Amino acid sequence: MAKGSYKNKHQDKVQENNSQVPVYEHLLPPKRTKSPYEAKLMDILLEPTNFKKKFMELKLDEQLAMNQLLAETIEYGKNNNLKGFVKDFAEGAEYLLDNIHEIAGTEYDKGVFTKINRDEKRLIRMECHGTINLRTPHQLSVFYKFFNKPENKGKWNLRAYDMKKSPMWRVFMQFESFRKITPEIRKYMQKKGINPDALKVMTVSDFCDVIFNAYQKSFKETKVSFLPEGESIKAKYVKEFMRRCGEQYKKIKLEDAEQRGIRPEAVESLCNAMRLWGITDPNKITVTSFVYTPHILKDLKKAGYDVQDIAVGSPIPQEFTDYLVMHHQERLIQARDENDKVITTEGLEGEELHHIGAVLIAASNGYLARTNYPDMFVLVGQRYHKKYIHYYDRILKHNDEEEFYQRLIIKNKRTRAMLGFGKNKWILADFENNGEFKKREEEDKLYIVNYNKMTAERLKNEVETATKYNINYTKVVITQKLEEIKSIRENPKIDIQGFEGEYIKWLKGQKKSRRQKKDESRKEKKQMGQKNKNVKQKKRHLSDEELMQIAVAKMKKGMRKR
Amino acid sequence: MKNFLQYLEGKSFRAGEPLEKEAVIVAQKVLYNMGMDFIPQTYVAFLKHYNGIKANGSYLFGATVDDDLDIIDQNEQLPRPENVILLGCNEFDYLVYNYVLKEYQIIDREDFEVLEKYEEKELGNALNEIFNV
Repeated sequence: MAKGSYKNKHQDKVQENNSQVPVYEHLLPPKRTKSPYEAKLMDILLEPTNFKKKFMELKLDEQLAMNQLLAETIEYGKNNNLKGFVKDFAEGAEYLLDNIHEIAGTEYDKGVFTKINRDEKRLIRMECHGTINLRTPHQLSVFYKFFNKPENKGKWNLRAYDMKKSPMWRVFMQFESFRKITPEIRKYMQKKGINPDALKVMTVSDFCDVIFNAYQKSFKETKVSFLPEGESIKAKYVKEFMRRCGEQYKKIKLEDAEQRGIRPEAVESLCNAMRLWGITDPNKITVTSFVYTPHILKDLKKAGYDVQDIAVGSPIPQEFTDYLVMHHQERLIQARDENDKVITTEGLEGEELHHIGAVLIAASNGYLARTNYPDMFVLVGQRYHKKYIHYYDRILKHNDEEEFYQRLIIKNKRTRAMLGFGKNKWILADFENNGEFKKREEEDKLYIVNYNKMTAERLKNEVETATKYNINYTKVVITQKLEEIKSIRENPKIDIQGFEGEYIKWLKGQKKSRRQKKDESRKEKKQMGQKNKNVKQKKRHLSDEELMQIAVAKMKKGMRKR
Repeated sequence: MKNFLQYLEGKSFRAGEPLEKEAVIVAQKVLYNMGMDFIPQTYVAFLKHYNGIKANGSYLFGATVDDDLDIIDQNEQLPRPENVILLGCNEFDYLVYNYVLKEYQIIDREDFEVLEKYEEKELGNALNEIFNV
């Protein structure tokens, strides 16, 4: 990379006075996203006949820049009192943007939604990836910290760990992935000697900490997988997608790669990684060769494989490639170009997982597990995902109360992958139509719980546990609890009136007892101070000889200690 | 941050070109002209190790010519709430620095709800939260 390249890239933004003002400048918003394709795009916009055809002839980056330029122009038109041709241009942009949505098979979706809780969001994400992060101490509850102190640990029978009695674990158990690990978590808690009473008061974050510790392989790990490799919801979706639509996907990717000068070996290796491990990121894969080369034969021989009868140039069987990939040995057949240089995936774009219905909308009916179902996912290209699909996401508030969302939705519900603009980049399939999926759906429905109801139950349990173990709340904890109560109160579906009054009364009691304790300790300190004062005064009345005796005794005591 | 750097060892991901001093100045200047504050020092310290990284749908932005990782491009192109600089994202969330509250935040990509807060010295935890590898 040449020195100063970054400065060159953003030269127009760094220079204070840019004298080269384009002729179309007055038509566009003054504060807009600068794009290197602007002149080319404006040629089309100033002569928009056959817009769809011209748009489809653009490269993906240019198409995305066109989308952004039109959206910003429309916004500019709406917020400013434009006149004449400038006004016409902004209005025309709206029509052209509709054309893009038509090509993309997308439309705006707007509506009211009930917000889901932060913990619920966290659970959806964790289930999707199958990973959990290290928790920081401030994220853990006062109870969990209490039960983790060595002096509060002990030995309990495994049967004492009834996970169904834990309101927050029941929130976890709505998801198949967490149900699978429930026996492990039970055993781990018993092994660690955590009092089973903790289950009733543990929060989602506390359980995250338990899962993290249970699955951490080395102390260096700050993120752990609680599911076997390739078994997360995301990985399973990708593997299923490749099983059903792999050929179609590969065809589209190969066509695209050819246009962009990317080696087919890179596409093939990405497809293998997706099919076998559910990995969609090209950066994580090694490109494997189609044929045996002297280099490969040497490496295989070194690794103990019998290569005696294999001729240079003969194709590597797919089964053998799969075997090596499954055993993380794909480096043995790493692809190299004519100059013996390792072929990489440079330039090859991978896919990201897109939730068809926004997480918060899909889950707002309380059926959280539904959000991670295969018919809720679409694989989309990285750039397309970020700069088109999510570009129109908005949350709008009305009178500071009701919340509305706006986002783009993919019209065809059977879409399982969208690799760019235009129908030829879509892959359609029905995923939910199989026995395994139906079984999961039936089972999930049995475990649905309401988060707020469970939180209210946990708070009730806290009163009992705090009293039983004489656990006092700090000022920070009391504030947190009041916030929790407030968030439950905001949910109209939950009636906590009876409980709320009692709980707040109890919290006030905690506050009072804190104050009392503080007063007592202050009093105690005062008394101690008085005592010391008395001693000092007493000392003043002692004779020199007596004082000397005390000093010698103190010295002796100090020496003994040393 | 040490833990996060250790975590990255042996993981496969793509990183931007090594950080140039001038690139940081350019990024700071452009972001400031866009109405934002400067990139926090703790994050710049991370960029000295890895000038932007991407893997598995997760991104940490840097002062790099790689469009996907360029902190200027991303802050220009992605929707973001007020008073924050976008520093990274994954399929669900953004990593941002709130320069008014002087803290790192993990926020929901859809509704910008603040999911986690981290003090400046806790950058490692925030990076760990956003980078799913």
